Amino acid sequence: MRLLYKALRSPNFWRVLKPLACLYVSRERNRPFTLWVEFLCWVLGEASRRKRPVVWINSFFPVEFIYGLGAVPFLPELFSAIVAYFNWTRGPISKGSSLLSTDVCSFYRCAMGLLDYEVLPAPDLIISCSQICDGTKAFYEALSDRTGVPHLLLDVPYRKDKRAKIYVKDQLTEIFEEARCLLGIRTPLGELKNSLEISRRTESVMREVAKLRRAVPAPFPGSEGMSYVAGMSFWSLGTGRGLRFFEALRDRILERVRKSRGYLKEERFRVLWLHHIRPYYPNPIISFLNERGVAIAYEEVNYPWWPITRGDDPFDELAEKICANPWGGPIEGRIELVERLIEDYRIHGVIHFSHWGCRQSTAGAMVIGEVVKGRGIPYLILPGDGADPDNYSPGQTMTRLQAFLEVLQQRWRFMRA
Amino acid sequence: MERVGYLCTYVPVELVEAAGFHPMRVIPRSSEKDEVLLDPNICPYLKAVLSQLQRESPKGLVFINSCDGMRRLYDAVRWFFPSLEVCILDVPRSSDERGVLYYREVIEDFSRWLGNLRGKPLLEEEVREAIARCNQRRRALFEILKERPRAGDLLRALKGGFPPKDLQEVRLREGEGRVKVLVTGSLLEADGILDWLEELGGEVLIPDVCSGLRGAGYVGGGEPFLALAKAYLEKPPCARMRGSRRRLLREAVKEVQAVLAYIPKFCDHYLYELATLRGICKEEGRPLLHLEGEYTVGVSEGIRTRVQAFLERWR
Repeated sequence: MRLLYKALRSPNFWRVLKPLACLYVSRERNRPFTLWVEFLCWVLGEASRRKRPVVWINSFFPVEFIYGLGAVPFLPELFSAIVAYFNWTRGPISKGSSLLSTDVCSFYRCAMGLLDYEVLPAPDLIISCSQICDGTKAFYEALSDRTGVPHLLLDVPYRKDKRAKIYVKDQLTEIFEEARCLLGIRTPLGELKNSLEISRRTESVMREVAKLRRAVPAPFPGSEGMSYVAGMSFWSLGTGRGLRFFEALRDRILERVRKSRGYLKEERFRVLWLHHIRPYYPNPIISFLNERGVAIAYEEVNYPWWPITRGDDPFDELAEKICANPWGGPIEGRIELVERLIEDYRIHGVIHFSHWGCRQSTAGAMVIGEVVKGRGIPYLILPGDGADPDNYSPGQTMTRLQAFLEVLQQRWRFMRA
Repeated sequence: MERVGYLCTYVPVELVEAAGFHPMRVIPRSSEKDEVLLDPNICPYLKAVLSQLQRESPKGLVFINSCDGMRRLYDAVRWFFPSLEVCILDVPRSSDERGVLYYREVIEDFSRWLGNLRGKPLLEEEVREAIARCNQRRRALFEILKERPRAGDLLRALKGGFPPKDLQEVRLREGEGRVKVLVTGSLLEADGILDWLEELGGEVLIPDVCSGLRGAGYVGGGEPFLALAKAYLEKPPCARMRGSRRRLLREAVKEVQAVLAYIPKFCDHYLYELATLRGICKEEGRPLLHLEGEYTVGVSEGIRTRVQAFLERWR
């Protein structure tokens, strides 16, 4: 295991792994997935090569800012999700829990443990933004304390008015300068503009993808939307690789839509999955839904919520995007999003995955539930854990899903009658 | 006098007083919690607040954008208690000039909200008078702090709000050679822990908790909203804030022989800070006891035993 940990920090490991992994996954004839694997090997290889500075960021920090800075972004939360996919989180989570608490987010605990195992590419700088949850400030500050690397925080206000946008914009301008100074690089501002231009083009393709996914039957599985698609939208925006990935995804979905092919053999119900994540370790939730004809037609995390912007000032544009985030600020933003998704994706039921250790999303689950149930749509709060397999109760989860399915069926019979 | 409840030390109580309301720090005396309207993995204090609101409600309630749980509590209260007048103050995480100017605007909006609540706008003169009154109470508090008050008594006096109106019940500490302890964390509802600590020979230097001495210091002169913003952002910071917290924590740890972290369950800011606190205590060679609070109000036998065992090493 120690050898593997050491290998993960070697650029040669990623150089060798990249063609092999791409060849292996290409058997599935899923081009977007192959592009994701290729991207992952590239970005982790770049981070280990250390020719460019490595900047750790949280998922909702605009990654195009880091590419525009001329640095390599590394997202500890996403890396934890990948580790969970391979079912390797037990050790790191146990290590992380001894430093933090078992009550905080398992993705962060896992990342803290991985840091202690010396698996993660060492950072030159840590930047995070606070609009989503408390962890994005507190955890990254704790990482900064442990690594001795400076941490820059983008303090995003609760309000979304003009003053708030100016407050964010001014900080972004300062952080860009400070980061260049701390990293000792003089990347011109033009690089950031280029990165934003690619990001805009990618976002336009993402909107096409979101539109195509309204088709019935559902052409693309939400479970994949919450894994590598979300991974690419958090990690690759602002790069040509990201653009190519979303173009390939659009083409794949378009082909299915043209042929009226759903991802399930027989689609009986369409559900909306709320929360940014799902359990990534091996579990039967998705197969249970698939086998019973329940399609995850869409997932909250992938909706392109940001406004279409174009301006000369990159910081203005980024501030606009950051402040538009529906998960920051009052819950009305999220309610509006959920209602829109229910309409657009012709949803029969809503599953709110309540990840243990996540306050920002789960604490709003009751209010969201009131809205959804008010529309006569069945709603399930599914408690669980995205990264910690030991915090997952298969019996309880399956009982809840079974009951939810029965409610969906009853409602369908009622509507038919 | 009608009461306006508030939930955090960053609320400028001067304005509430200026509007003619009694500012009431909401620290429920009952451990009863609402387990329905918020998710199970949310801080027990917030659930206790929800439970209290079902029994009695003030004229208005002021929230702070202090943590995820508080933000969602604000949402839940608006949703499930629609007749209650509520307001949330968007406090920045930094006390630099930009933060102070931003908070000044927020405070000005808050004064408008209070004006609407009482039916007429606040006058600058009223605000200045309230600031002067609160500064006077601060002076009385700082005087008594010089005389080594008992931490449990002090905490009980501060539960009514900061700066406290009544300090008569605060007794002074006796005896020398006690084990100096830093008590840190967020809300310490079980003030009996401090009595217990002192009975066992401990001496709590400063209760570094939200229900302790984290209120604002003297509010200066000049434009009142700006002065309030400055005073409230420069007060002893909580774990949510950027800036001097780490340095102050290290300095406080150096001054004591032992550290007790009392953190309510699911309180993320302090649970993450725990990693840093552990590091500081290790470097400074101070033992650390982490107690998990469940908003029990009283002190459980389990906690008594752990505190007793913790102080045993100095006997």
